[in-house]
Amino acid sequence: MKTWVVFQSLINGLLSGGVYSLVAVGITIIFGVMKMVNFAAGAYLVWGMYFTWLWHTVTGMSSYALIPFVLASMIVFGLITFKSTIRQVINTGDTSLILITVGLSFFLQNLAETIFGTSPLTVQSKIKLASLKLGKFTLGYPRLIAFGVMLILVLAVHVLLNKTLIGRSMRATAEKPEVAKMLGVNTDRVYTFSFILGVTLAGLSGLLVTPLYYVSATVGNTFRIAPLMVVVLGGMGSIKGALIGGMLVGIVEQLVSTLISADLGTAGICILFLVVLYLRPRGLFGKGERAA
Amino acid sequence: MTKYRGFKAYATPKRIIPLVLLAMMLVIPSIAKSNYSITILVNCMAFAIFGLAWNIIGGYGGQISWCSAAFVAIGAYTNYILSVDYSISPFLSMPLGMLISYIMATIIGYGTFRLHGAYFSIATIAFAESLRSAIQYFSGFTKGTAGIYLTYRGENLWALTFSSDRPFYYIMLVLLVLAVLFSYYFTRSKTGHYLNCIKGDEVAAESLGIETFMVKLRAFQISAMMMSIAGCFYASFLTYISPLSTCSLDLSIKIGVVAIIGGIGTIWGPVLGAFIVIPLIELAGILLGEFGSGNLLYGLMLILIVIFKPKGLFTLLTALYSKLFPENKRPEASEAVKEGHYEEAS
Repeated sequence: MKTWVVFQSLINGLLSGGVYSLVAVGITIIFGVMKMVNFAAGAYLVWGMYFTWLWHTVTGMSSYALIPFVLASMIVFGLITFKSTIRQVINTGDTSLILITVGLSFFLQNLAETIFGTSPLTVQSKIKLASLKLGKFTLGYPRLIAFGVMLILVLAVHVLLNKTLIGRSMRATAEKPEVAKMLGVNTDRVYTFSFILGVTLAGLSGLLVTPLYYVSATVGNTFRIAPLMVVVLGGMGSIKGALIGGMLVGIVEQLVSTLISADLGTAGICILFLVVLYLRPRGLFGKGERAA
Repeated sequence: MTKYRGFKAYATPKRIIPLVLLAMMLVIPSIAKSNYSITILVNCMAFAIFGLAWNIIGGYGGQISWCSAAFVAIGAYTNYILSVDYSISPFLSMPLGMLISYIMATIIGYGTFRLHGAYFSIATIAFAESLRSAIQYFSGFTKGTAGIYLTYRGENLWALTFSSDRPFYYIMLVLLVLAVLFSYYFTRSKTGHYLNCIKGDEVAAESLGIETFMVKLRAFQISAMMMSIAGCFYASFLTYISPLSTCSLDLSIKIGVVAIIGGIGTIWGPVLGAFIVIPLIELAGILLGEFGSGNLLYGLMLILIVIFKPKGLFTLLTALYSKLFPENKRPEASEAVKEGHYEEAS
């Protein structure tokens, strides 16, 4: 019985960690290029959920069919919020970037609450409770699909970064923005592009979790902290780190929640995070930041 | 001390204005009719103290902390648990709260101050969240999510229970004056100066032989202890605490916003910020009546201030001041430089 519980929560954790990975990949791309920690990823995830809900009520399609719509909405939304806020302070240092993304996170999440109300909404779908039975274990379809889509998206990001022109410009800007600029890279456009890419991944994660959570602004609290832990755990700026860190965090959270208490799930990841920070300050796959 | 320069040299507007404001604050309770305005003012002062404590590490050190609420909660919960269950006075449980905050700050700081940048901010969020879930889990003596009500023990200064908010007004005022004085002496201290260097350029400070790690750690410990003292008294004023009201990220952000709006890294900034932000939010709550609108405003204010006035609203006042007293400022500054005293422009 006990081993069954452990294995089931391992599987659940791995699958729910996939969503953390996706949000974390978004954060890590933004960090890699702009050296900015996006504290607002959770809020963008919330908006992704609400966009899914909006398009669902308008068109009546199931959430996975709405991916192109939500993608387009997130791009526009990300562009507007980036141009009006972060773009203004991009060269004024670390502190104002931390402050503005935290402000953005607080503002956007409460904006959603003010507009759509506090009562939770739902996106109807048939597969919500459907699950795959593998022997004694059950795998919920929503989690399985979320995991699969996550893997596809991360692979796409990998290809984008390594095989396309914009990807090369992003990597050049991440390496040294001044030199990239001299070599003709439009760093301004690269910043805009990477921010939009990062928050769009968060928004799509929002779409992927609509079958699992009620659509409500408080979901942002859940996804405000864990992806940040994931990014630091995996090593800031490392996509592989974000991918593996996400699953690790998901597993630890599920294990602590099922074996000890659901209250301590967050505490579990935070303690894991602090321990890793003590032992490997650069994260599991981090190359380390350049000082000065 | 240098030689006595006559009354006029000491009675500068810079010194007189705070004293006039203090005198006004002392008179207000006898004029004010409603208990409501007193409550708002107590809240303003409490947030001014929180802001000053945040400023020690966040403003002077440039290390943005989002776990202020955790230290407030430590102060509040040690006060409530000891006073409700064992009827021990908050004045006695306050040092215990300070000690716990000190230890916690050391643990977080030790892991993160070796690194630059946003690691510290993320770790503070992690710490505050784990503390909140710990409070919820150990419901045996923290009462979990239900929260704790303070037992009323009559008009009792030792137990800090009063039938009205007026005594708290004076208690908070005393604490606020102490916090301002402490901040003033902190900026003049060795640690304060070192911290200023670190904020300017951490790598340069390190290469000049400043132990940046220890300085940041000490500032964080001081900030944490200040926060838990304020949290202890503020909790007695609230008469009810819960994990959500004392240990949420929302509260931490509010505290940061108060200090940033007023002026990051200035002594009067957090005080000014609190007296602007708290009434404004209260007003917005009355006008809009929405649950989320208060928090929405905090976020909006934070974004706007970082974009348009990153040094805070206090710079407006200093600009006004130098316009009002232009002839006073210049001779004093040159005199001070001659005598080897350097006074900060802010």
